[in-house]
Amino acid sequence: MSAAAPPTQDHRRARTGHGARAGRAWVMLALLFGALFLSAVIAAGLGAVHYSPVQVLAALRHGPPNLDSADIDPARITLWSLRLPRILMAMVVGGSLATSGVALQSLLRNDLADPYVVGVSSGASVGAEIAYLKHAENVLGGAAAPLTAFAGGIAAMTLVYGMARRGGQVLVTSLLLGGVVVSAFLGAVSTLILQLSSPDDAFRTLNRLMGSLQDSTLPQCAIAAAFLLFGALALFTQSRAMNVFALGEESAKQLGVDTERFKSTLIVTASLLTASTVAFSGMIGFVGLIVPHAARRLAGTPDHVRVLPIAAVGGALLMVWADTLARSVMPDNRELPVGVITAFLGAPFFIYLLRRHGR
Amino acid sequence: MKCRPFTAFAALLIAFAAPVAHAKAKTAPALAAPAPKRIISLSPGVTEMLFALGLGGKVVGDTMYCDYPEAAKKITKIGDVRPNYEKIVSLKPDLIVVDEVAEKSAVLRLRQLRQPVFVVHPDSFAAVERSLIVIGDATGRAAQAKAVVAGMESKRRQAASFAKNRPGTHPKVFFVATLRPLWTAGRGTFVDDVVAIAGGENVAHGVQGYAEYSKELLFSNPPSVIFADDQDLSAIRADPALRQLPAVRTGRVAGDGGEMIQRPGPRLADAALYIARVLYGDRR
Repeated sequence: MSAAAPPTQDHRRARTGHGARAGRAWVMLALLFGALFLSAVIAAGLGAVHYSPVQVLAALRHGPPNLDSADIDPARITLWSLRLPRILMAMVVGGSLATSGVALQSLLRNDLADPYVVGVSSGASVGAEIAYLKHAENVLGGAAAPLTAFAGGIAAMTLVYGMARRGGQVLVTSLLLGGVVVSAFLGAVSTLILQLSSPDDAFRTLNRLMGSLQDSTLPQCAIAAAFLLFGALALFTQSRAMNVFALGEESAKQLGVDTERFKSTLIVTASLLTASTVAFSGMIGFVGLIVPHAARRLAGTPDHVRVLPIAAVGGALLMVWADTLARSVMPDNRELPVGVITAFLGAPFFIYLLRRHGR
Repeated sequence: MKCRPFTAFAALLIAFAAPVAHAKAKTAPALAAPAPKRIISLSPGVTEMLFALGLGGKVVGDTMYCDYPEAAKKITKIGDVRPNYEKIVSLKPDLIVVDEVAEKSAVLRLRQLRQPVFVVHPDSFAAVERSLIVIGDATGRAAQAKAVVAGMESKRRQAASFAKNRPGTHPKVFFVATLRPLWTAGRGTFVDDVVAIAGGENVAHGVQGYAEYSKELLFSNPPSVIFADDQDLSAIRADPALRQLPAVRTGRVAGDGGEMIQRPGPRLADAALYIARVLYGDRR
């Protein structure tokens, strides 16, 4: 474990960061939290119907509507039953995908990694579809889909990781090709399941293909938040090992990191974080790609102790706005799958990173 | 055609419905207002029913596919096959009429939000008539509903009379729901029902609900008349395989009557009449 690593020169530097930069990271984190709160209030007012921040705060202060009473105020229903769950879910999903991206980029020592690109999302998606198909959720309750999604995600991740790894090295081309192949295969499985499912399950499956937060509910937010809390804590305990692992697997081993345990922890955690988001909101790509990069820039240090929380809050911020766009941009009060928005942002960014890699 | 995504999507969804017990037009639990003033329709067929009952002026929201009658286009849109619940709630409806065949998940979501949902299940000619009656009862338009249904019945008898005049002939009919991929309406759909009423025999009667249909099957039991929406007509005539079908070679490919055949609403009676005329050569 990282805690047992002897304090070498490199490790100590990574651990403490550079004084000023570390301070800057915490200021940045505080600013991001402020922006997130502000965004949530503003975003709560945006959508098919607009409400001012004052109206939003008033509706929140009045508490959830009593749906059984005769007086049902549309503003309170919209804000409490529709937008609040979406915004909370957007935060949890963004945080989960971003931290999952940090974990994958650290594990694969490659900044092109992202749950979507690597195939974890597809695996989780198939897992969740199986839960709906078999009505496992009747037995296991609301957590059924995240759990089967977790199994699917971890299987896909292990497969891609195994394909990409050659003698302690993870090859970029193998990683990307592995991700493509596994995603393509899982896409076929998805289509097969779609053919076999009932109308409502087909609805959910179609929704899952490009991601949507429209059907979020508060209980789902709670389950996803529990997954995020657990996953983020697990990653945080590994943050120092992540710093050392960046020097290379052999170096990390020599510095006392139990690399096998480290790698399996990261695979499991990244799959767990991805799984809950996929189960509730479908496949949302590139958030796990963009946000870790931005987080490293904002933190001013590659130290994962600081990058992880900044990525989590930054991911939440990005998703809140992506979902706000998704529910506001189309005519006739239609909605865009939120995955369309993140792909529009993320795919060009991916190409940019890929070109930089080539150099 | 504007209805295509709706039809295709609904068809896709319905297709997955394994033999679901087809409920009759259901009535919702007691509604708040006996004569609703603010009605939302969640499907084009329902919109046509509401207008037929003289309730068009009270419709405050409908889908982007609701384009008949003309006035339906100008009503505030509440999304596509995925309704925008925020918009629905903000319109303060006192009645939301949902076609359960196409919009089952919306029913659950709207009930969760305690919205005044009224469910109809128009999956056959008779079920469309029943839907009109129950909507009429719920909206204080019982008399109009009876009149509309009586009109439908008279057209239905008229359509059926075409076949009666030519006993023993039941032209084989194939209905193209979507061309690529090729989807059709099988047993248990209102399309199948209206074809039978008009004296035709749906070659896809063997399949359940809306389903994908192979071209090979089409050649093994070739239809003598094909119905497709106007956009698909020329594509069918140009399709290297489909144009070999006897129906296409002899020019017995007809439009869907401006989506009449595709809408479970009052115009289904006109659709029956139209199909009968095409099949028995009154006009064509």
